Amino acid sequence: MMDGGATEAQRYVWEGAIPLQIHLHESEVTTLPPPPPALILAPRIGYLPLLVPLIKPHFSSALPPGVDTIWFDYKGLPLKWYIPTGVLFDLLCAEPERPWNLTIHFRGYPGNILIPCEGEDSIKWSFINSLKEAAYIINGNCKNVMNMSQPDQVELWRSVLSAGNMEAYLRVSSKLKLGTVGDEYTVKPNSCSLKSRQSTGETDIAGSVKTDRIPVRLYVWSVSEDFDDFEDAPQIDSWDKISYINRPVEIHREGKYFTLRDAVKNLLPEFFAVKPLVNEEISSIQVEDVQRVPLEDASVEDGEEKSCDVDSCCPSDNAEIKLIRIQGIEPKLEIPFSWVVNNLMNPEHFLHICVCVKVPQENNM
Amino acid sequence: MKVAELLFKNGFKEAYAIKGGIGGKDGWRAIQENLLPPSVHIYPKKKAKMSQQFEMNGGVNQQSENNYEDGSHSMDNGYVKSSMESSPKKKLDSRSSSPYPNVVMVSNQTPMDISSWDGTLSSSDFCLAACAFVEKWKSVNPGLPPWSWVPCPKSPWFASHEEDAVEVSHSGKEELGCSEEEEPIDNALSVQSYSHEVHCYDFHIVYSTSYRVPVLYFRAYCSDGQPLVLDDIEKDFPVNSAKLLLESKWTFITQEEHPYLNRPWYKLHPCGTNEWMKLLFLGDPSLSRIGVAIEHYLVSWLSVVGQVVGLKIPLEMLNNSSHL
Repeated sequence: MMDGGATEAQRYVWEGAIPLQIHLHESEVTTLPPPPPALILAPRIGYLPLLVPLIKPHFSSALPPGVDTIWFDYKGLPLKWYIPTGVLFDLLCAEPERPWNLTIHFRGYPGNILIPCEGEDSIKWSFINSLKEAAYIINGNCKNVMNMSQPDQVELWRSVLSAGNMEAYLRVSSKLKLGTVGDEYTVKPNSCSLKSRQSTGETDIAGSVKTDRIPVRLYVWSVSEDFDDFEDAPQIDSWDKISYINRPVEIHREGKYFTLRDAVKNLLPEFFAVKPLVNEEISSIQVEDVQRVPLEDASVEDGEEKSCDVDSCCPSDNAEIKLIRIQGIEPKLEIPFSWVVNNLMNPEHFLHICVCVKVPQENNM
Repeated sequence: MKVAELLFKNGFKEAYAIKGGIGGKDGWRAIQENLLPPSVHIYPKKKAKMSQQFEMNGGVNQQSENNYEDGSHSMDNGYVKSSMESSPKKKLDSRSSSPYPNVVMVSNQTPMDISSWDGTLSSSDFCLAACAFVEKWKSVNPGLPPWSWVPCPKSPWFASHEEDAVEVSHSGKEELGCSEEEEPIDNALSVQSYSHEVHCYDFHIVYSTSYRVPVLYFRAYCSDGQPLVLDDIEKDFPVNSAKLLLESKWTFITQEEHPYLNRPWYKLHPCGTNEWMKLLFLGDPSLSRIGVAIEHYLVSWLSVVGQVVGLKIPLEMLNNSSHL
């Protein structure tokens, strides 16, 4: 797909932007009246500090003297600059707020929480290191990224930096041979041999058997109280409320296509467990079933869904998945995962998935 | 030395740039010989607490200095941790080392065909390797600060995920100026900091599910708790690392979020690890003879990676045949 030009969805992702209303933190206001907030359109695939050259002139006259160490917060939560802006928005604004009101700080960098940011170089290398990681996950090495020519590297970064030239991005990124996930509708002849690799904890012989590994960054926000509307959702006031799971999803084909549900189940098996039965033996078998993800596909595709829907799914201990959001949309779980990956991944080839789960208080330890 | 040659030929230098390679002038073996000069005697800072953590095998609620606290744990999702502090005046405590060979290690020995091995390991193998490493360290270096396994589930509902990553941790203090790579400092200029300032290093070994290899995370701080910036840390490092740090600012050691503690730590980039691990095993007749023994993985790995940060492995740790 990537090779033959962009799909419509890819274009939407690439052009997606979030209107920001940026306020200068009151402690840094030195003028009266305080400067009005800055309005700016932030590309979803971009990173907040990249906006600084646009924002700073707006506030520079109001700033106290000193050296800038710029960072942003949303309702007091310092924002991690290495998470793409669109992901931050999806994660922290369960009920989308437009414009998104952020606060900018030019002083007092919270170095105990945030990684220092030395401007564009930090972001560029964070991006490239992520790209390398993705390449390693997909190909088992990062040679193509390491060997990228200097002009290609510059072009790739420039296209991301401005979220501008998508064709340029596709041209360079296709050289990295990170490919796209194969068409899941067809069964690969050697698919059966993949089974053993997943289930055993034995030493893997990566390379001898090819499994598609998809780079995924999963952000899980767990809430303890229930709410009907995301407007009533509690505020995320600490990163400790977010579990960050950086684990590739391995696609196993066993005659059926691999859905987004399978992928999420793979990452968060606890939320897809079938209600435990009284009989201990039976429930232990079911637990096994959950881990061998593809086995359950059969029933999903036949339409007789044994495992439950996202809203009604009832994993152990009444925990439930309340929301799955990728690139601002809440895709149906029946969508082939290959489509999700190929169309909704970020330019560093990671698919960022935001999940909100409800975990009842008594299980919160 | 065969290993060193192999590593050189295959770009090991690029991966971690130990200038002397394994057997070279400033290489691993050479450094091993000079291990632990009298000025770097080390004793466990929180020994009782740490060893307890390990013996309980990650099955208990524990609180580390990183405010990491959680309930139900299983072996597969945790990390091993220890703490050390260097001081020339402290005597080494003698402590009973665990009986060897350890049952768990032996029963889980998984030799495999080395020719098809790609240098990576699975998370459960990492767990085995980590436990073997912790045990071996304990028995070989009873006087050194132990490494210990620290469990860290992602969340309460993550208690028993099979593939959750694991982590080994180790922390220590280095007396500033006592590492042998450093030139003697002009006493007239910096006599106070030279003799009194102690730098503490925490080392964590975390399994990366992306690269399928262990990754070294560390942080450094002064004795008063003030974190050290990379410029200061660099001065504690072996000369070669400091140089490489300068040359490859963004791809060698960078600050990144600790995967479990969600705080900025320093991380050694792992993208060449599987390549040189494979070479290391291929090049060592005693290792390749028995196939890829997972138990040796972390020792071999740390013997290379440790050099980058000046963390030395006692030579006995590398002695494979004596115990297995």
